[in-house]
Amino acid sequence: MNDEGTVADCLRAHALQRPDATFCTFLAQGGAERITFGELYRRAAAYARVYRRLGIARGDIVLVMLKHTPHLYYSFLGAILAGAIPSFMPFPTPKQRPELFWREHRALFALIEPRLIVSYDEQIAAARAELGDMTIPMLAADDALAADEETSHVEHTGGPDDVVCLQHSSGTTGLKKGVMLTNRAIVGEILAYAERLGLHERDTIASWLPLYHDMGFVACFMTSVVLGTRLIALDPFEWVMRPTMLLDAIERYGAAFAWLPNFAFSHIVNHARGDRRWDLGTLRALVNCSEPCKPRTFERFVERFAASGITAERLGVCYAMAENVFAVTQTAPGHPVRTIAAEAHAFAHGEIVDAHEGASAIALLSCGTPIAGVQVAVRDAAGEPLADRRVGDIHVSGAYRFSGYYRRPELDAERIRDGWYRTGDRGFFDRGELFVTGRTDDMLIVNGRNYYAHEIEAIVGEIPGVVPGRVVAIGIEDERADATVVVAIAECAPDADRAAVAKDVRLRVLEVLGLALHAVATIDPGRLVKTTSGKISRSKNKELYLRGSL
Amino acid sequence: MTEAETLERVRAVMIETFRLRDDVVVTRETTSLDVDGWDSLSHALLIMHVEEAFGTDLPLERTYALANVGELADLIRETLAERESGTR
Repeated sequence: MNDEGTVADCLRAHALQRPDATFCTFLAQGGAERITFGELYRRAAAYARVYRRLGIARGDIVLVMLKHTPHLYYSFLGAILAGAIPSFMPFPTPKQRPELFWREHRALFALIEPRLIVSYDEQIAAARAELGDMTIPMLAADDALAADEETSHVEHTGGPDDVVCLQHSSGTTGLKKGVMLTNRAIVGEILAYAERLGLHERDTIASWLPLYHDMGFVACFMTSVVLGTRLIALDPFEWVMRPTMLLDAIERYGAAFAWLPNFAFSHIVNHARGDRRWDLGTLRALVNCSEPCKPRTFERFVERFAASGITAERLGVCYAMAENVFAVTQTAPGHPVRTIAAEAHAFAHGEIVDAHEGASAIALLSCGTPIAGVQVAVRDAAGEPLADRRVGDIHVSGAYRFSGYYRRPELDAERIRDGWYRTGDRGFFDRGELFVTGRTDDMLIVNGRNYYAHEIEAIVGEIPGVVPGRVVAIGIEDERADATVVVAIAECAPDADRAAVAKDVRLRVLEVLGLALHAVATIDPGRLVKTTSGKISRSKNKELYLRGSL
Repeated sequence: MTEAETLERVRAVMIETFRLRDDVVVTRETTSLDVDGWDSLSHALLIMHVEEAFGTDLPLERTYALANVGELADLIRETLAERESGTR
């Protein structure tokens, strides 16, 4: 496939040339369903015809909000074949109240005006009850809709520069941004990234990742559609409960690649019972992505799974974002990822100096070099390029850059200048390799998903008993889980029942965001420390919290 | 195993999993909202530790959305009873 092709062209080409090749082995509840490229195309085409019957036209937004089911693939690709613009979105978790979940979507839906939501029966009932006045058509995913029958060709007239789908950023619903991606950007990124990894049509990718996240969506699902690789798809919910099932899948199906956020490496280590071994000899790379990657995490993983065939050479790091389809940089496959031990004091001042032995150091993992077609710059606040080993703002440009945020011109103006996208990430270059050190804003990355501290604080601030505006949300490291967790610190009214307030805070944040707060600290009024400009300081209060001084 | 014995053993597992104080009170009504650090990742760890402590695998699909400790204790007892009667 060349990079002039569209996603629909790729799908059709695989269906025609290799109809019986496996697109996906779909694992759920102990069973395995094999889906061929021929079947994938036929079922997607069946959805396309349903969409046409429903009056879905070129450029209409179709939201796919489904649990782990092959209808995710059929309904999404069907929308592309119909010329519509699909987007995967999360569905409510078992802990979220459906009515609240759907209510939180009102503003987003009013902005993007979806022409159709594809979901499942119980959610459609809840959505209709909450959003009835918005008259958004809803369709229940159903085997009858996507019958696997030989059918006439579904024409799709889209071209390489048409927007083919939206990737909605993770995090709070109200802040979700629809990242517009063209055929050219998606196909081009996947081909360039595959070349960097040495990933081929005959390879197998194992994934437990949800499709509303760019790793699961692009690196796993779309890569199989474009490149023709085989996908082994696990249920994200089952994986969280039994994380070693990813190793079972790699071993059983001979997978060569998998992508994981940093926390997932440790989650697997923590669940690998006794000295159980797997034969992971087919693996060429387990790629760490979407959270700050930690050297210690890799060390623990290699220690635990060395006898299963895991070596440092088989672990990689990728720096990725939806705004660049997926990969921006990637470490070299077959080589251990380079680590820098940065002297802590200089690091705090934005300079990278190798730490002497015994000195306080920050361990940083390389994210590798830019993939072909991508340019990366590290700049100071004035936009001037910085020298190697100077920490600044990361900007990205190149062939796979997104076409802006859907109906958010004000955000485009804020983030895109002269063809460069300001990522909000901080980092530095060293010998051509990018190292990512943190964020410029208050984004917290929890289990691979993004949340904004100010949004959590706004939710907590509305709980009765909490002093309005007197809340901070901070991210701290939970060493045992090797994950970032969120603590809410709230000043409480003197007469408030603090245990009840803390419970209400947890419940509300869980219901609205699907985020389980690690702890809620309820403190006396006036205890939170302010900055010199009079705002409540997240960093200073975090310091006090960690010292136990609040 | 009685319900009280099951609950007591679950309490011991929770103390280890969530690093709680030895005198923590755990009842059937205790939920994740009452316990620091009980999120989706540590819930998975709790279930694994429970399975080790009771020597049985719990049905995966029923472990996601347990409403409280009481439901967990019931699921454990039900699974053990099924195993004893040979229905699993």
